[in-house]
Amino acid sequence: MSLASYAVIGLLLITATIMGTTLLLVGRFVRPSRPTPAKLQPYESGVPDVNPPRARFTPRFYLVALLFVIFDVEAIFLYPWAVAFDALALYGYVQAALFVGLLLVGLLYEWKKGALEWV
Amino acid sequence: MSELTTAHFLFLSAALFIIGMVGVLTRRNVLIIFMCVELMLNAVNVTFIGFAWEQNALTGQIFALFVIAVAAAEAVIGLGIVMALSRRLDTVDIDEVRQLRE
Amino acid sequence: MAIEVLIFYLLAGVAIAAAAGVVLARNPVHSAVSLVLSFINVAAIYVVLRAEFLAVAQIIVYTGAIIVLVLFVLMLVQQQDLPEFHGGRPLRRAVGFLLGLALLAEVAAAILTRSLRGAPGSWTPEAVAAVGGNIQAIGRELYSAYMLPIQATALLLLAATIGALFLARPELVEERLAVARRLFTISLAHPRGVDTLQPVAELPAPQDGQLKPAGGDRSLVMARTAEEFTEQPAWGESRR
Repeated sequence: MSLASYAVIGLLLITATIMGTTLLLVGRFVRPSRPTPAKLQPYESGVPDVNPPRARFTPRFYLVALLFVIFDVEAIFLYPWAVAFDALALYGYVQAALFVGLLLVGLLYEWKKGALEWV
Repeated sequence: MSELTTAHFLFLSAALFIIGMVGVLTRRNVLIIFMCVELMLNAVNVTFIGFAWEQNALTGQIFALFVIAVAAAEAVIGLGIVMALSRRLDTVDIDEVRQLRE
Repeated sequence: MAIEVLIFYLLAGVAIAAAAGVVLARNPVHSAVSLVLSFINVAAIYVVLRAEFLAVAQIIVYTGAIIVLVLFVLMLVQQQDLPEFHGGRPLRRAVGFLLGLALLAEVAAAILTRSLRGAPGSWTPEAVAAVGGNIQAIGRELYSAYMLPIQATALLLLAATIGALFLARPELVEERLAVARRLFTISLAHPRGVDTLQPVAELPAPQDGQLKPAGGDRSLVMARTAEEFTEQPAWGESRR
């Protein structure tokens, strides 16, 4: 049964879960908790926030995240090819080259459009 | 029921799919609806991999891989639309978006 | 073999509970975290079903990339607009749950009364182990019999790249000004560009709507109303 080889990971996960919950629960019950209205304000001696905290970071990061998802999937597809490279020979190589080539078109398009530049 | 059978993961898949479907039908936040659609795609993957496990075939696993790729493309475009929506209309409520309907 | 079933029940229970949490949570961030929990449990079920590569792909793509993107968008869109699930629209909620129950009954009937038969494939656990594991087997199968789907996937990803660039392009100046008009309060008493306090009478006469203070090269914006003020090329924009 190959599942037995994952017993160590399972044990690790169970230990981590028990540790985390135990520590949080112990902290919850041991720490003193005496909240007052002044303590619960976000800034003790500042002006309360009136604007929506909307633009906390620039949408530039968002574009990078979008492109990251695309290339993440590309990496997932290339991984089995790299592992089975010996068995696949030229046919697999041509396929992978076509696959990467098509995505390279996308990368060049991004480059041309200036999406990779940090404005 | 001492052995893992096809029915086990078919029920798991059905449960996940139906929870996702109920979420799509009842929630109004576009982002939650999007997450529920991902849940439904994931449920379909469970079925594919379960049948691949039962039939000793890799076809189901490979199809699940393609489903993951499609889900990623859908995520990119769907969230791009959500962003454009919230930028133009200032809302992510699905009931507020009715420009195409009227 | 009973331990396998036990593990399956544990993982499936947590996955279903977390999926229910996605639908029921009030805070969308809690929904996203529940979704991560559900996905990780499903990935563990993939390991039970001898699909190790898919388990890793699931964690990398779903929890590593897609959920991060969802959380990104959650942070970027306006939070106080997020509508509540609880309260209002009981009819739609009831219809949703009823439809879900009906579909569950239907699927249960189909699972319990029918059985799928087909010729078993050639990739038995021994055959997979002989070629060197699940990833080897997937690589051999994927890149020998699925030429067209792979290239179609590449085209799909290419289309998604172009679509993402189109949707996430920096918005036009007019759009940004419209957002700025909604979000910022404008004080007409203190127009931008006036560095030192000086009486209005000493200002030079405006030339085509603009004039420059002596201290710098920033242009002083002259406006009578708030509408006119926001039409001016302000906030670092230069009208193109």
